[in-house]
Amino acid sequence: MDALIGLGEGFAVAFQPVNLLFVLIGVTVGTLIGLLPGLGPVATIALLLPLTFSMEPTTAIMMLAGIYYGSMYGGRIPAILLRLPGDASAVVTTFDGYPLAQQGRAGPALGITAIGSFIGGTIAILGLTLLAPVLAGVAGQVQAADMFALAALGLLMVTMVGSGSKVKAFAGATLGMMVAVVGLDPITAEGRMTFGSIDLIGGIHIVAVAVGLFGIGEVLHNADQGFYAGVNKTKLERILPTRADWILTRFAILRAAVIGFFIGVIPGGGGTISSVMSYGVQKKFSKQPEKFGKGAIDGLAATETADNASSNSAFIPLLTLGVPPNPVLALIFGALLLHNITPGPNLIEDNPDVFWGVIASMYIGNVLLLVLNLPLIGLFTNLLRVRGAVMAPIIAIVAVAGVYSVRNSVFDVAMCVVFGILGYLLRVFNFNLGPFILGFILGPILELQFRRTMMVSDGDLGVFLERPLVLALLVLAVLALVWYVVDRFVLHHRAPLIMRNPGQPVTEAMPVVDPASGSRTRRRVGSGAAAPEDGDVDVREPVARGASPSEPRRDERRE
Amino acid sequence: MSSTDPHATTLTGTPADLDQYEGPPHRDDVGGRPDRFSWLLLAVPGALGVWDGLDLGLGTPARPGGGLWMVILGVLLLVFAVVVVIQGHLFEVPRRDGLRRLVFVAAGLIAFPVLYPLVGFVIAGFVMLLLISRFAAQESWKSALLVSVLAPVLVYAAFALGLGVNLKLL
Repeated sequence: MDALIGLGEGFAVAFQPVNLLFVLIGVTVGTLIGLLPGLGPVATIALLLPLTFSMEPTTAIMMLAGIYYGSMYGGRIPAILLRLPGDASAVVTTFDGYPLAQQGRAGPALGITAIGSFIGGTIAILGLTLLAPVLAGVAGQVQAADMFALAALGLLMVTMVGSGSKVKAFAGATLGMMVAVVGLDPITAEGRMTFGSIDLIGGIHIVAVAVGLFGIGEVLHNADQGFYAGVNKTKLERILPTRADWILTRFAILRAAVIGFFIGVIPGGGGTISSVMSYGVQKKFSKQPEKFGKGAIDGLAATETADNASSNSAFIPLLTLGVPPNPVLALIFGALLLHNITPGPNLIEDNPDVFWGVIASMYIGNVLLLVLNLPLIGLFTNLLRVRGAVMAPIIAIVAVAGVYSVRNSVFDVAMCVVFGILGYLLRVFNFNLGPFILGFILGPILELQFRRTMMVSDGDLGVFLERPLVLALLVLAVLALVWYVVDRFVLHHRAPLIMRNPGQPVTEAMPVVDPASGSRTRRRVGSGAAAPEDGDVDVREPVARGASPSEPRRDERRE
Repeated sequence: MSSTDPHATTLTGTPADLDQYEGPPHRDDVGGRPDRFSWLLLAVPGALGVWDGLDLGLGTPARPGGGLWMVILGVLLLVFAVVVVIQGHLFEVPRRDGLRRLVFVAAGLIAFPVLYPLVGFVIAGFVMLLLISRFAAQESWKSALLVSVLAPVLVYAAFALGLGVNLKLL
């Protein structure tokens, strides 16, 4: 009952005209940046952070949240039409989305994913509405030791779950925490790692780090890989799925929504993991499992539904525990801090308008996304013509202006460039950037809670083991480590580095790289089917686009 | 469970090679050149952290000093640096055309904070964007000049006039 009352108050906040406007702006921008190769939600939120300073905190977070789950909608469009995933979680979308487009069914593929995402998002937000207040009530009893353990577990999970070298993931997280140390000690106010510099005494601002790593770093990455060349033409006809499509997909969508919801709550569990899990589960339940990898619309629907559901449920640990479960929400966490709002167990009591307003706005945003993505899909796909060479300078100038605007500091702009170069280098050397930014944001919390616990316990480390929550989290962490070791070394032999569509021969699915020029071309995928007239997409070559900013560089040399 | 069977699953029911679905695959063990540099990205801040942390003082268990956390992180970074060296990763060197683009983009980005205090936002932005769009992205002169002039002006208008940010015009 309290949840319904709170939600009602949240809707009263969300329906204010200015908030409605910014939710609409957020989901539209989110769809666009999810659609456009070369920019992702992390970079966009980082770029927009400075602009939110002049807004009310509730409005700002509503907009940023809209960008996040909106980008999940947008990322599926190039995945289906071009086999270019807008982000890592859209990779699974390419397995069946692109073959469907090749079969002239791009419209229904886009339509069913929009509907599935809407249903998945709605179910997840309902779960968020019911579960979040309960968790917040329990979380109200946490102490400093518990907060330390929670933040540590969140960082551990995100670091372990990401792709690439785990050593480098942990190293990246530690490096992020070290960068966060620069500035004044939060307890003694002594300068740390400032080396006598007045500029460094103020610390390195999160906006400079985030915009640098993900905005400038992405520009550098695209310069290295070759700027996205754009698409010549796109043509889409019927968007709505047929009755037969709906019968095939309805239970897949419901199943995937539940899977996505629960996985999204786990730190590091959203996006890709939920897509993969629901795809695998749906294959077991499907009436046509042989179609998977060749245009299984139920597999496609399951993937996108779970992706969107997890992006909504990921707000649960952020809002109730103050633990951001992924890099995007880490930035939203940072945005809340910049507005002097601390997400966590007390948020529902101290700032109920923010807590419930954001949840209510997600219902509205989910509806707006469906409204935008069904009739306006043709308009959005035209944006695929925008070349990376045009986007890169625009990103650069907006980045420097935005970073400067935070503290009117050229030093911040210089730091932004430094972290852009650092972000690029980290990607070259196959470091995942997600743990870095999470370490940067969670590091100060970890340190503060650790030192507080030690002061309260008079130096007794045993206090950590006396807290039931800490013990439970410790057991979870050990289980997670054991699972990782067993899965990685015992059950899961590492396959060759192949990015392929299941069920299809490697040679057909691979992009072909010209060894002389390094340009990349893409063959049409399919088992000899004639090129369809509907949904025909002509891809200009070379095709290159930025991968997810948190992922290391792509090696597309195969065979 | 065969890793080449696309339908194979692991304990969790996920496809055999999760890296297939997580975007760019793990690249440490194929192709490219030996990575002899990335350990520096860890060792240098690690060493600085240990040095500065010890200088600041570790405090006592009941009152941990500001240096304790830095020393912990610094030691971890140094350990990771050693592990990275031992593991002997590989990395892909940027191709020549990619390097050329990188140099020009980096030059433009570095030029901006250097020029801004001297010539203001619009001119510093112009120089940055010209380096990026003309010399890095190889856009035509017409297109590059158009972007390099219009974008800083419009962004200045949006931030300075629209949001009231104190940007130096010239």
